[in-house]
Amino acid sequence: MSPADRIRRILVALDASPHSLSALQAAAELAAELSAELVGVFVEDSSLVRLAALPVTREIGQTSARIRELDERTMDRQLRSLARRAEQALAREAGRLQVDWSFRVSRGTVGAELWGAASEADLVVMGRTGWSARRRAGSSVEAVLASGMRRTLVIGTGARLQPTLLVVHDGSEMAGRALETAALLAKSKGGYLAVAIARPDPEQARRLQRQVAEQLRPHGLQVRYRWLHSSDSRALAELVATEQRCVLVLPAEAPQLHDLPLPEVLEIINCPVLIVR
Amino acid sequence: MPVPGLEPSALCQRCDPNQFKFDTTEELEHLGDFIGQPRAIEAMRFGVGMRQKGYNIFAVGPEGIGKGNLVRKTFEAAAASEPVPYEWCYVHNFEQPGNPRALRLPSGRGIQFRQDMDRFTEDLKNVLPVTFEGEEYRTRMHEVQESLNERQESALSELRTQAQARDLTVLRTPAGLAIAPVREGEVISPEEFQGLPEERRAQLEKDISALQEDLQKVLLNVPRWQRELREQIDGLNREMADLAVGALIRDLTTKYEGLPEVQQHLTAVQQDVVKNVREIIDEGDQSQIGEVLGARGLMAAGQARPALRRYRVNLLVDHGRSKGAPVVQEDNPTYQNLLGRVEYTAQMGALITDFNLIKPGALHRANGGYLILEARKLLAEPFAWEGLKRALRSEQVKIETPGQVQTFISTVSLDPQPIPLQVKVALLGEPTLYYLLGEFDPESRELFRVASDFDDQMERDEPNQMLYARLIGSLAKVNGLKPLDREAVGRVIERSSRIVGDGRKLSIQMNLITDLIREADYWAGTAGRQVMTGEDILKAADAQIYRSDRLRERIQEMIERRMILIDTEGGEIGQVNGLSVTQFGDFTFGHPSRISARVWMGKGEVIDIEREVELGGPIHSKGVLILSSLLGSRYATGRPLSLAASLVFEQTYGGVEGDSASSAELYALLSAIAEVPLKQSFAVTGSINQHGRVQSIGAVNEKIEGFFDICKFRGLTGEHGVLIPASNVEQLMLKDEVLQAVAEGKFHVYPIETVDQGIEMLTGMPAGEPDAEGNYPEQSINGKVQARLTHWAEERAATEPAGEREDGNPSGASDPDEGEFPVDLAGELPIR
Repeated sequence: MSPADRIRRILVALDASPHSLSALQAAAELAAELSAELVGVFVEDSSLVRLAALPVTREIGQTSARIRELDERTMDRQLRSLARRAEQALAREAGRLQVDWSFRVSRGTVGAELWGAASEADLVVMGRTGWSARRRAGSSVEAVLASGMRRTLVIGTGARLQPTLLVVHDGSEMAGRALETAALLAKSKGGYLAVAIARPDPEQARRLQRQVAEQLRPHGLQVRYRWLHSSDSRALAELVATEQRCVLVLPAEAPQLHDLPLPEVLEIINCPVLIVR
Repeated sequence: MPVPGLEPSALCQRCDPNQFKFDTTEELEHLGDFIGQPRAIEAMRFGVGMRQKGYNIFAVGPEGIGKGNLVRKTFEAAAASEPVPYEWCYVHNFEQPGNPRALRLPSGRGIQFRQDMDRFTEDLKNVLPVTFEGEEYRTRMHEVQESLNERQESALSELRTQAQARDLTVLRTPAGLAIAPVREGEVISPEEFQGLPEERRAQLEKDISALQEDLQKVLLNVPRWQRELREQIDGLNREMADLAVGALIRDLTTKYEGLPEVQQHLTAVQQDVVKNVREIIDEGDQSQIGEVLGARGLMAAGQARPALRRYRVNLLVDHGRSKGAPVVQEDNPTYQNLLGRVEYTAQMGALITDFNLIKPGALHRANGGYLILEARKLLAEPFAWEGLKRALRSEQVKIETPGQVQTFISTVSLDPQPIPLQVKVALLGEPTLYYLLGEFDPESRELFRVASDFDDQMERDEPNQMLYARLIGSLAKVNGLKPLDREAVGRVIERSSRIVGDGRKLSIQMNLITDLIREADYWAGTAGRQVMTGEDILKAADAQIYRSDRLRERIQEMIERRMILIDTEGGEIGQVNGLSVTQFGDFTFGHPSRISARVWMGKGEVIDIEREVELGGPIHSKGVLILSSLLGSRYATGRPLSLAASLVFEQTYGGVEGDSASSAELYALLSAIAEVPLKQSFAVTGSINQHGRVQSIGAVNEKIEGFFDICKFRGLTGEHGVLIPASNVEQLMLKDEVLQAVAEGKFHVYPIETVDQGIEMLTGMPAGEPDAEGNYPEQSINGKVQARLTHWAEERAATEPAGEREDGNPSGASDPDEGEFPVDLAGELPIR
């Protein structure tokens, strides 16, 4: 792995939601394992600020369902409070694992702000969704994925980083980078690597497996190989289920995985997903 | 008429070894039965047979009499033919967790039930995760959870669509949701909004308001949806758990057919598993962490995890291998050892408990059978006696901590269901304890209605001597001692009679006899003999005495060195050798005490100096008063008793109790009045009544031997002797030394019936019989006494005016029950 591929700075997007706290925990553990710096970013959504300034808007309580007046000061206070909680959580986790950390607050569109901050990071860690209860990935995740980040780890509430990394490989260049990243993490975690060869033709799959084995030999890792004969999301979900607990590593774009759009994958897979570009 | 001295054969009821037909006790048949306790045995049989409430037994008798042995054997004999009782166990009470349930099972089923439930919890640990981590459960759970998310999302998505159609958007704020107008996907700024035409603004406000209401309706539904979700999850859990444990429980229910209480419990277990399935599975995950962290307490004690512990069975009593009813002897009858206890274990700094930590007491173990307790130990333990009474009265064992009972502690603890109690209790105790308990705690009589009274002595006749020989042989065998030859047996029998102080009785205080033969075995061993002989028994008895008689030797030495003044020759007026006995623990010894009397003219009062200085006990004072009465009625009929006299036990510095010296005091007084010397070579013992009869006293053997030892030291002259009450002759068991001296005419023992006999022996003068007018012959002791008293009376009449005389003749009333005066038995004070 070239020095450029090393992970020295990890950015974690924080909004104090349960998902983002899980992301924080995973990011801090990774930072400790990789001796990387941890950067927490809290984005004050400019849409919310504008919303609060409008004379016609009201807020309806999430739990109480009561309609309340909403103004800029209230919104400011709420956002500051969330940012403070996020920073405290970051300080706590980083302190526990003795990781270098920094925290910043920016205001703007979440996607754009994160993209801006992420340009300085080697890995972005995000909660699957924000405060929403839905399973589908949140708009921020979608924005970051669409922005072309090199490595994005998406993690849901309560999920933990597991020692097994399951990487999907279709022979593409991007899949090769995903394999390298997975090997890097498996080594640092002292874990295992499982490689799912995504080729419908068995012969091609065997050939690709040999290539992968060759590529991984210098790492000296324990590797298991799986055959992903079909590139639909159900087959991938079954494969993930057989590995029980793992981190799924996917190339962001792969010609052989055209039936596997990322939003859909994130919706059906429960385990942490690392998308590599 | 002088009284003849007793023959040596009368001084000790010897046991002739030739009456026995064996050489050593090894030839004798083992004696398993108890001897000499017909009354106690009959009472025991009655007590065991009576099944009504309150017919428990109090075995009353001195220490070492064999009460415990007899009670245990009687109980064991009865228990052998009785059915094995039910077993009891505690299980969790699912309705009231603070009151563990008591379950009754036939004998042998308890341990099976415990094992079955242990296996059930093990199976649960395996079956539940398989069921709840299986694909079916995961998929269905996923579906249930997704249904709520979808419900919420679809409601919100519908709203979003409506909003979008009106150029609005639904945004999530930190505390809720809000609706805002948008242009090209972005929330418009306040300036833009203000720039909109008024109609548009009004429309937007109207739309926002309408959508807010719709949104509010959606959010108000969320708690209901969540409740429905929980219900669906519970339903799914129940269904899966039922599937998992139903078969296990069904098997057990079939196995315990006919035991409805057990079956009810199994049903409750099944319902509880279904209700708490998540807790049980989650605990499984946590317990792995707990094991890694070395968690202490219930979990780390090698026991089941807390959630599974409630399905276990705490078997209190296992009768699986019992034959017949149980017989339990509790040697440490503390409250908790008797009634059971609830133990606690420390976990994270707190003391916690559950039904698995309930421990049984002796009453649980003896339930359905018999329990033996020592009364003294029981009464010495705080709350134990009250606890036992409460259990017997209520006929149930209820486990409570003494703190709870006394309401010192009111913390929440377990209150296990009481267990019905059916037990026969025997208390073993000394008579004093029995009578005191009866006096101060009337309830004890209600609960221990049968007194099994153990005697400490039995008749000494020929058949009993033979039985006794077998008993001695058995004791030797049981204690692993050498056998005894015939002579040794004879000596033990003689020693046994001496222990009870009666030649016609045998002691059945077997601890004393066992000690004697155990020590004789030692002496036989040192002499290289394989069989104990009479010599060994005598040596053992002498060694026992030697080890205890330091004080006796000290007193004798003081007499020998004339620090204590005792004359053993010549004659003295108003002075006689009385005999006292001193007791230290088990050891009793006798020694002479000088009694002296002084007389002068007076108003009829006899001053007891011991009483005046409060050194005399009430029985001693009673003896002196009887003596005064006797003087008046005998010698002063028709005229006032014009005598003043003082009596004293010389050189006694402790208390004096008992009336055994009253005859000696009378002799000293008569000698002083008549001015006739008394022979100092004699010592006297015996109490008197108002008619001048000499009555029996206690410890006659020790008293005779005490005087003999002094005389022997000074040299026996053939004049020495002891005057004892004739009624004590049967109790004589004197040592060989005395017998030998008597046989050689160097020492004498005279049985005396009346004071006249006694005074004749002591003075060598006739006592004298009164004529028809009550006058005694002049040259008799009685005549001299009468003459001097008459002289004083006349002198007093001449010197005092008639009106000033307050005294008079004592009433002279006679006591028809003279024989019923108490004999001089061991008193509380050390010297009498």
